[in-house]
Amino acid sequence: MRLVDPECAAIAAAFSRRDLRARLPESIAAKDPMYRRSGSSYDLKSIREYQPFDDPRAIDWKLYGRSDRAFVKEFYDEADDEVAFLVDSSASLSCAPVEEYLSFVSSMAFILLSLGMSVRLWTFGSRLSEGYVAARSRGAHGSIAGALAAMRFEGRTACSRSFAQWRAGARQRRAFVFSDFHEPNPTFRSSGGLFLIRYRTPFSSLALPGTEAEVRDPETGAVVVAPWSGTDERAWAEAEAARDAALASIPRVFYRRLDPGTPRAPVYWDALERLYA
Amino acid sequence: MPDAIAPVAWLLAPVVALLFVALRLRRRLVYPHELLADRSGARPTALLLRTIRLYYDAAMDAACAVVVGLAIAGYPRPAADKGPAVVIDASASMLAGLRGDRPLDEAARLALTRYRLDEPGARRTRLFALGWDPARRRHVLTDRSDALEAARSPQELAAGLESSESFMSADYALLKDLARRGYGEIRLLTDDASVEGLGVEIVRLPAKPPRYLLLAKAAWDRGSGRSVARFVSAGGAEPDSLWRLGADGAATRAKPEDFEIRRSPSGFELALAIPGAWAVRWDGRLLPFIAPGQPEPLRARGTMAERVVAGLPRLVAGNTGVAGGAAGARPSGGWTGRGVEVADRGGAGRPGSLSVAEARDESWLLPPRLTLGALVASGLDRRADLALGPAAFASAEAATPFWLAWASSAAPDGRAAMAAASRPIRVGDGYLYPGEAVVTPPPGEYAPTGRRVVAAAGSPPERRVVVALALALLYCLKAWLGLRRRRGA
Repeated sequence: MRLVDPECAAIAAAFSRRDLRARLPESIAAKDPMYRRSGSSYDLKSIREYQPFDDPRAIDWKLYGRSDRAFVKEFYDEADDEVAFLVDSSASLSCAPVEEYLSFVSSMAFILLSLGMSVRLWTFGSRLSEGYVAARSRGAHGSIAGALAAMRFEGRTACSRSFAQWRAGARQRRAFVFSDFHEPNPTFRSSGGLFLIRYRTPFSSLALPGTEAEVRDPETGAVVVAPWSGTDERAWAEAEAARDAALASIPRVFYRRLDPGTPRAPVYWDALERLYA
Repeated sequence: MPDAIAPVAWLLAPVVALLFVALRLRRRLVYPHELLADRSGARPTALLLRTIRLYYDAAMDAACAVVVGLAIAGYPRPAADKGPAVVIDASASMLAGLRGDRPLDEAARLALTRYRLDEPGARRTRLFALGWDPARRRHVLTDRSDALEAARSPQELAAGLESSESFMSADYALLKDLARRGYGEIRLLTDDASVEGLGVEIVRLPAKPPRYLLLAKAAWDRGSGRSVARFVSAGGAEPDSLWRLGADGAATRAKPEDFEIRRSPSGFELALAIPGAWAVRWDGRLLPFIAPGQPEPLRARGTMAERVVAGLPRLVAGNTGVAGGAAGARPSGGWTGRGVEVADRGGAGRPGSLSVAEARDESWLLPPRLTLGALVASGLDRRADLALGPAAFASAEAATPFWLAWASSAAPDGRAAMAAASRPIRVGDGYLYPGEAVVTPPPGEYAPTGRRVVAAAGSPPERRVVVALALALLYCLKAWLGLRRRRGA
């Protein structure tokens, strides 16, 4: 299984040749480390004396013990250059084009890593996974690819709840959610930097027109007899369109739906454009 | 409808087999239900509609099987059962006897007391009268249920029928119309003992012993120069008086010098000086009749016709030279005969004409009805009524057809009377059509003919058209659905 699309390196190179500095986030764009925004990363930015407006919790107590003066350490902000990947691993994804799905996730991670961003990947089914995989450079992409290759699709889809879980403890300001969003009324609250990528297989490509099929739900195991006449296909298409419209209408959200065989390169580029907008 | 279960089941069996195969070949998929679940058809109606929509082919086949199965079992039934029908024979014989003791009175009593169902929920009995329409001059079957509903006594019902019906004669073949209209239980109340029912319940009413006075024949008598009417009578019926009828039906007592009456072995003869419409009163009943006048002389058109007519001088000269004051009398009041023309230019079968042709080869005989049974040689010429050759001319009996045509030409033209639309006038037992004819009940209404008559209800017409239309509709629907599906609708 090829987990990185061949055009990804070219996309990353082409995108890096653009005047990215002007478009990159403020912290990344600053050449002088002095002007990079302070944050919560482990990269030490400076040590200065404690000021009244500082958080007392930031006082370096060891240094205080040695010098009897209060100093605080400042770290660079790490949120801006790290992107969260929330990858749906519910059983319903097994009905989607799995290889294309995983390739897309892996390729997206590869491009971001190539552009100097770091990626932290969670999987979710009925809930967000407790562990995650982090990669800080392109060389670490293997860990992402390995995690994706080892992913098993099981459990129910709960993308809204998983996203809320992630959001409660997240430090990243940008997140990609890869899912089929097969759950009733998925809701996402975002202040920006949220990318929703939907992968699905159209039911019309599975069922024969004018027949009916016994359809087993991969998550619940329930079986229904689904008719598939012209009227049913229209109704299904309307429901799908309504789902797309609902997801696309979330404020400040980048949403794309991919079917099997959909060209992925334009989606990569659009996502990067939006990421650096 | 249980009898339709077996054929319908047999015809549905292959449809069910096809449906079973289709179900067995149904695809099995794995797919999230989230966007499919809302159309799973929780309601039975939705499930039924969905099934019909998906398996429209099998549904159409099943519907066709049901239609054909029902057709095999005899459905749809020929007509809706409209309940019982009681038919009263409204012929002249029903009025025989004294009022209150006539067959009509008994029929009214039965219709009102035995066959009218007044229970709530019971089907209303319909009353029909089987009679004769004097205006249209044909037998009719009329619905008189309103009279049955309105009558409070048998006498009232009988009086209502007497005023509305002509009581001339009845045609039992019209009963088939009732079965066609959906009446399943048909009863005929009649005094005619010769009627047998086939699918019709015959309720025989007590018939009266024969007592009648009938016109047997009326013709112009060349010997006396008068019109002679011969009557037959039975049961001691005697004529009471003789009346002359005007054009408007008004009757005036005949003067003694206008007629002579003679007894005969079977009844009596009336020799009337004045031809026209007359009426004989007997037992309080009035019997109208026509006394024909002297026939018109034969006319000739064509060479051979002139030769033939010249050989029949007595028919040309008419009654001239015969003693009697009424010589050359003509019917008065518009009662005129039509005369006969002998022609030799073809035109066989033309009314008022007798066409002749000369024949050399006479290998045939004239129709015995034209010769009163005599054997007269004849040739064959389809353009003429009579093809006469040397052998025919040598026979004295060859004059018989000309005499018959001449004698019958004194009577008014019956076909012209049928075509005319004059208003009939009721005169006693019959109807007078001014200037045309007199219609009286047939002899069978007075005396039993002994001829067996079958009153058949018949079978209602099969509704094959309904079945054919239903099948055509189903196949059109099937074709339309198939076309719609092929277009991806």
